[in-house]
Amino acid sequence: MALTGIQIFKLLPKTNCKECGVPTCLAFAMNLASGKAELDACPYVSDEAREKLSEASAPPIRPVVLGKGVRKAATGGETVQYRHEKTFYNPTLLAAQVGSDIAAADLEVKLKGWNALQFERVGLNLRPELVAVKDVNGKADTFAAVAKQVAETSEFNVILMTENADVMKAGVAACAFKRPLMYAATAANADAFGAIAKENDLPLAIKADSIDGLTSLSEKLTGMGLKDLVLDPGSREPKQCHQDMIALRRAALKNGNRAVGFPAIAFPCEMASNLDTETMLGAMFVAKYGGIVVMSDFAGESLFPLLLERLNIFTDPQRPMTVTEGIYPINNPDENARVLVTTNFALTYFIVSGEIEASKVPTWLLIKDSEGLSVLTAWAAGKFAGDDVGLFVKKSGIADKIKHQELVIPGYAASIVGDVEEELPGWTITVGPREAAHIPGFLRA
Amino acid sequence: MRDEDVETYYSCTLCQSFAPSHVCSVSPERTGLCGAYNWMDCKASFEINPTGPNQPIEKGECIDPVMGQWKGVNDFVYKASRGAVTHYNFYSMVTDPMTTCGCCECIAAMLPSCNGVMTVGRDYAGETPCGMKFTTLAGVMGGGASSPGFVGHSKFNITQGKFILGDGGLLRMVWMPKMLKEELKERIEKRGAAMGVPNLYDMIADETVGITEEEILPFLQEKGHPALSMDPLIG
Repeated sequence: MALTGIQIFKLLPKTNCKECGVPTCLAFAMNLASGKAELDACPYVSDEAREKLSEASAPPIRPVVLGKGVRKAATGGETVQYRHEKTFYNPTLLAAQVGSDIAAADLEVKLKGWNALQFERVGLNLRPELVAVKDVNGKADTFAAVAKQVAETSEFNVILMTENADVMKAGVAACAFKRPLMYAATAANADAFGAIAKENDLPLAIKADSIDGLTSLSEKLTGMGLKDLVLDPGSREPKQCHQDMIALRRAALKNGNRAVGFPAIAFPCEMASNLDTETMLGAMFVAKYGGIVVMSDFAGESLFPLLLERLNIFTDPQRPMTVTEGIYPINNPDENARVLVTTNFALTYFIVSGEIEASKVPTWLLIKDSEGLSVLTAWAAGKFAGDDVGLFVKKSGIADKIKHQELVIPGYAASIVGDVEEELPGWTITVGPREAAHIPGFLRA
Repeated sequence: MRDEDVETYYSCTLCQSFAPSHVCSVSPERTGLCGAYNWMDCKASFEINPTGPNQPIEKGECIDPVMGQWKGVNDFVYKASRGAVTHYNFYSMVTDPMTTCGCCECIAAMLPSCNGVMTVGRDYAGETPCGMKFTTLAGVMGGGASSPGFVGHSKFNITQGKFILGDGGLLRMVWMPKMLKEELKERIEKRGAAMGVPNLYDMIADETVGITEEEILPFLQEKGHPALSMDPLIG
């Protein structure tokens, strides 16, 4: 059985020196216990403790940081097989591929197009992170030039794809400042690739023809002192690859197999002949343990579902999603449009705003911060009470945008109507429908 | 009403939708950790919906009267958590504490250098002496785990008679957010007096004293906080 935080704590120095990056030894012990920290972060741990804590001394799947700048992201670091056991932490990184023979002008167009693929959802910006540059002709200078252009002219971080050490060296020289992922070390080139990765302190993907091959390769490279690895079991047949991904995750989490305790990379771009099938496979790997998923291209209709799926799967189910407090104009409201108020639980917001949109009636929607609780829950918890709703309406500035003084409150919060009236003298407070589905009828009436 | 007065506790498995191995046991002196269900609520809920999330638990044989462990509860929890949790104690946060779903009103954490415990409510967003904010605490110990050294509990539970009694009870409390402390002032004073320390309220540090163990320890020493002279919290 895994050690509990308190058992680990007893073996730590208990000095609260903060040098590991967290404020107390207890907090550090809890991070170790849940597989989110490494024992090496503690500079004062005794040898005796180190020995006893070996099992808990590192995360079962190492979080590997890729890239630099605004799109810097970690992959791996997961501690559970299924999201319902706790949560997943690091969303699958999405990459699109370019060949090293692409002309600079074409690449510029592509990068611009991909960069424009950004979507707003629940107040989050959804977009892909990576471009994979694939060596197609063994020419080091063109490979380096393409890598350099991606690294320097876009926010995207880079995966360098070649198995030729000279080409890889040129690519690394061109974009090492952006901490690219090197793909891939194989049994044939592991020594050379390991040396380049170590020298430049870069993450290195390893590719084998089976999980067994992966294990020995990973042991060899960790033996060389490399820590940031990414695994490619080499399978390109969907069913086999799916099995391999699950086997890797299980081995790392359930069996504590350190050799496969790294994020995995999947290549739908090498498994299908068209973007639609690729996207379907990509969706499978977002759900089933692809730390990085490489597509042949990004198009709005292929990328958007993947981004949304990723958002759904990697959203922490322990915390309610929220939207920002404020005034949301829907259907171009003017000074005579009605004003509705509800809570900031994301689901509440989307359902209510969707129904208002569908009604085509111009409306001001006020979203009050209720810490992510739905109307009835927020009301019960005192986060949507008469006085604070009234106060929020006053402060929101909606009065400057309208000529009337009518506020519609949710039907489930009908009992706060008196308190809101008290807080907003002169206003008419109308109790709206209980169910969002009845909003269009209510607005049109 | 005391735990000794009844033979039946009630379970609550409402939170299993997101914490599948979590089983709350609600007794008269241990209100549900969400603060929403007390023993009477559960009893009523069961009578309204006999197949619902609140089921009666026959306490059965008492395994440990100090820590608060009963065979009947353990058997129920083992079954309701589908084997994930074999046993837990009602009255301890150090030794096999009750599991926590994540939606607790407060989270208590031990403060080893003060030989005491702190608790923080969800309304306090700042740093705490244990080095973790409420949200971080909820993240590390929520999800249906039994995390020794930490326990989720309701606000009301703090001044109930059995609150971490196996670890020394309310007299272990060395830090609370000011807001929570003031909210419970009268009840803390009353419970402190009942435990023989009438000025306990003034001995409990808050964020105005400090948010690290080093900052609050001198305060506790100056006030002569009872926790400092108790048995070590962890052996």
